[in-house]
Amino acid sequence: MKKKKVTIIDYGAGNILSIQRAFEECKADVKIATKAKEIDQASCLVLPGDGSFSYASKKLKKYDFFEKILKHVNKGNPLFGICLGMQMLLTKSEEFGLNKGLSIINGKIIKIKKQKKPHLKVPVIGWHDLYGNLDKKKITFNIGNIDKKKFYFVHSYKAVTNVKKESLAHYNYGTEKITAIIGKENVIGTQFHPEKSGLNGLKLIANILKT
Amino acid sequence: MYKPRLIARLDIKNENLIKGIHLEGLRKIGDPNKFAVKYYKEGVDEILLMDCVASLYGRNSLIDVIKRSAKNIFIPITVGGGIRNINDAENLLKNGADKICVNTAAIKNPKLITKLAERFGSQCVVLSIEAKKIKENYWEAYTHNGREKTGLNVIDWIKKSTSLGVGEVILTSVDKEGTCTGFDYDLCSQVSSISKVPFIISGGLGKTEHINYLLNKTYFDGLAAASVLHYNKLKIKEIQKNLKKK
Repeated sequence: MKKKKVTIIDYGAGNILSIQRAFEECKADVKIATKAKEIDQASCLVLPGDGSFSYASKKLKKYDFFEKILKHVNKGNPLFGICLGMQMLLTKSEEFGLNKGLSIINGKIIKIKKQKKPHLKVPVIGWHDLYGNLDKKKITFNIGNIDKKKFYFVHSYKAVTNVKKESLAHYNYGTEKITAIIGKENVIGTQFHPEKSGLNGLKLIANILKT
Repeated sequence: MYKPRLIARLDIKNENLIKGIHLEGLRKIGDPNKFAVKYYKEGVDEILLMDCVASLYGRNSLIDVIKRSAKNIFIPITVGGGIRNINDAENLLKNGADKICVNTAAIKNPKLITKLAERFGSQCVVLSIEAKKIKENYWEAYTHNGREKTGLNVIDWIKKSTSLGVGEVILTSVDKEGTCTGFDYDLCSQVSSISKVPFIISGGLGKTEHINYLLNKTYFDGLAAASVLHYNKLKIKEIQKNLKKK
């Protein structure tokens, strides 16, 4: 079988090595792009990210990735955002002042409210079972069966999509439902780290690569 | 349902997995990478790699171990020991660490915590505390594997460090560490009642009854296991089965 080509954007905010290793484990041929022009020929694009939204969005703009990513998506090519990279797909974020995202999916990033129970802390760090709100036909990807499977989350801010069905899965944090996967046509994003979610994560990556 | 994380803790010296009692009398066990991969395959939630003599000799020999581990392990890896500045942290993160863990350097220079949090995010900055019981309801933070006093009250230090930007605390009871005789339950309860960030309990796990007792007594976010795993006293699945509460 021919190896699927994947380009990971390295803009100085994220655990590139771990993501690269996870995709390679799923038999992808991985390239790392540190310059915007390197994604012109990309087939599947991965946008990782750790840290703050404002830092990441400034970096992406500074290196001209913003426009190139949008061009890539408008051509119908697949884009996969991970954690902060998923949050970047939305319109805006209120983390450290208002910052604009890629606006591929309408919605915003807001702070997770601290809850009363002592074990429900912010940042959320840990494994959570997913619950699908899946209208699978709306996206190009086959994400397989993720229901009640656990994935690894680290975040203090959460995504709220304007169009409800663009939130494809959530997890329960006390009384709150927190978006875990968003998607629209050729674009998908996970709030969790599939590259750090053990076998469940690897399976998800393999499924996305297959489509 | 509330399920604290299970963290496999691997203490490392000169690239070997070692284990002591009360963080001392270190005994060589084997290749840390082999153990880490084994625990990953058995379904542990996270891996913690601690260079336990790094601060004694002012070095950091963990890079090679992490590099190898990151190749075959697809769960979060926290790395600690000998991190003195932003560069040390960046070097570890670049080579496969997801979170970095500080103790000695943060006590010497608390501003380092804020610098690390601003650069990498609080979620990435873990504070390691070696807590020794001095008297009833009073624990002091130690460094250098429970050898050096700092004069800091553990509870005060947690409050201060979290306000400076620490995103998670690993609390090791020096008195219980390596003994497999149960946790310092009073310490756990006290920290639980004041900690605003997730905290991990380390030191003392010997049998599943200890977990049940701890769950009944207090809230915590994670449990670190070392001896019971390295010496095959408990299976990961067995611990996880007990590590939850309705």
